[in-house]
Amino acid sequence: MTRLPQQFGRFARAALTTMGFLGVGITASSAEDSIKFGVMTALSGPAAAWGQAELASVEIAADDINSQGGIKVGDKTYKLNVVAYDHGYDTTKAVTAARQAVSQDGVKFLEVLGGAPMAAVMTITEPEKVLAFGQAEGNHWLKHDTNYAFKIVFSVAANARANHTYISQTDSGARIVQFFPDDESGHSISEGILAQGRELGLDIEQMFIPRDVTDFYPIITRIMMQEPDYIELAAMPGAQYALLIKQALENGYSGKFVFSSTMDTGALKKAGVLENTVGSIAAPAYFLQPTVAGQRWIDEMNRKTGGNVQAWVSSSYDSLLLLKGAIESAGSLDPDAVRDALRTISVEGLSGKVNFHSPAGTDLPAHVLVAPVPVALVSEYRDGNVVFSKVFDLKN
Amino acid sequence: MFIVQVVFNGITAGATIALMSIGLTLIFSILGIVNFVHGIMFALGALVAHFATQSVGLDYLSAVVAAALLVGLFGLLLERFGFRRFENLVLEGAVFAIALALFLEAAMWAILGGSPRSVETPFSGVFRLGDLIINKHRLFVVVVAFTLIGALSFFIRYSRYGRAIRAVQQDPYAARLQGIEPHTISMLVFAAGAALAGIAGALIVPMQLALPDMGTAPLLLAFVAIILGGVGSVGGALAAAMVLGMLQSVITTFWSPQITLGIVFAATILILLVLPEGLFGRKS
Repeated sequence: MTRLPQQFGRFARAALTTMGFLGVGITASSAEDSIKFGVMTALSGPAAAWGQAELASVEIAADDINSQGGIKVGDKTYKLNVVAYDHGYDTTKAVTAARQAVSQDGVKFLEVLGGAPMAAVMTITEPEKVLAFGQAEGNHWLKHDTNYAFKIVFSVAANARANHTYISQTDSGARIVQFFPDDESGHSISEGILAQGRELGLDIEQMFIPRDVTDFYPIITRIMMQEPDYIELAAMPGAQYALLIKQALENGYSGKFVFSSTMDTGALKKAGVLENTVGSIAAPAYFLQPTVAGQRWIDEMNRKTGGNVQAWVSSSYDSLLLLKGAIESAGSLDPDAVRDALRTISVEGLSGKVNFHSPAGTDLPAHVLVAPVPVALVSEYRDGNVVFSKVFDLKN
Repeated sequence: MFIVQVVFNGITAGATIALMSIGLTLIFSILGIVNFVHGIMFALGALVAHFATQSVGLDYLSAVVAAALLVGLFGLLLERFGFRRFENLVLEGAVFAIALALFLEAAMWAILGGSPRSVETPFSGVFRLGDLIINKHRLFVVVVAFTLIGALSFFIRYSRYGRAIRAVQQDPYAARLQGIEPHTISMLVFAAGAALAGIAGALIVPMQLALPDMGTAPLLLAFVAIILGGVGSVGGALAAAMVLGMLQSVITTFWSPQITLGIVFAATILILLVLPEGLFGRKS
């Protein structure tokens, strides 16, 4: 019985999104005193599990902000209205959706999933002064002269560094085959990961997999020849790497797995390989010791998504709190004023204080969300559940 | 042994493409419809198998039969109440099919969400012959695919309805003069094509995970196979599917998965430049 409203909610959301593509237009905002926040994400396609988790996290943040009185600008109070757009992790669809969001729906604040979609969407949002949060990996879209785009994703390269350092200390000279999606995000992430892994003395080979590949047998036939000690998965959707793991195991792979972006235990369970990944090394920026707010977010995510809790989308929640803080601090909705405020303020997020900064050694503006310190975790099976123990902390 | 492994991987990939492309080519040859809904039927077959095993409690083999029946029935209804209106209207029929496919996929995402669904196979595990690894379920898929294709070829060649299908393929007007009702034949063919796509989905899902768009990539390759094999030719579609499967396996294993589709399409272009009617197509 409890599934019915959830399914209806999904249907309504997808119907609205579909109508949007048909040009009907999604007008989530009917009240005058409201701010539209667009979420441009994958609600269909292989990355749909990511998009649904991301949208849920933004909706939880908007609900929390609205229930606490909304966003105050002078003597006016605004409610946040979340408007969902489905780009299916496709650049062309992302551009179409961005045009609709900016030109037709009047969206001034936006979050975008994926490096390639983000880069494409920015061709519209930057000239139109739309503040865009990129839940997006890759180093190509954020530049020194970027004005209105902010990077809120936790760095896969930083997480991978924690994993690789741990591996180099416990299994020096290990052979790792790394899998990345064959797109802008995958290639961009891979460059940094390769350099740092080799610095640590690891023997690394990288493979790029188109996002629609589901038959990994030929690929695994090839990599089994190389007898890797570890198969590392970065920035791939859980549903896809769960299949890869399943087929690797069928082909007799007996090494370990390394998860450097997400470890989607739900997808692994559905593929029937969760138990086989016990002993894996993961650095998915989890809440090791969630705050009260963090634990409440986890509970809400569980309720809203039916268990599709993915820790990385907690930054979507935090960035909305930062946006609220920035608008209130600027005392206006002017994009330049809000951008300037975003560069300087900090707020209490789900796992402590969060703010945007300019990463050391770069000429980037203060548009990169400070991520939690990467840690390497090792999974184990306890009382029927997979639990993680910290084995390495990059701070040390 | 390594080469045998590569060949076996290619045959497995080819068998799936063949199951998809044979239904597609039959439908085109009878109705003149480019059926973009075929990928949805593939996904429906996988989802029927999932729900039949998980919710209804059927065993896997019964679930495959259920997928064939239900998706076949779906195909029959689609022909009767949709595609029949577009008989030989290739462009209009294709637009209708694309719109219907997009709508059905969006509806499936909406109702089922983005969580992938799995199906257990009774043929789990692998046979090991030295370095050669043969996945039992993949072997099962190959055996079922070739058996079905063989049975279909036999049916088309030797049965009364099969002869009627060929007659309608060649000349519907002349067939009608012989007492054959082309609409009955087109319903039969559409249902059989849909059932084959449903079976393909149900067979593949234990090796993958069921998602509403899981038929998109196989559909693309099935289109290539029917054009390469010669539109309307079951044997041609089978041969082309095997060529495509083998190309995929060899390129991915020895080169890179990134360029597999590119090379497959380049090879298709070259073959079509030399043989515009495909490998087994007849000059019109």
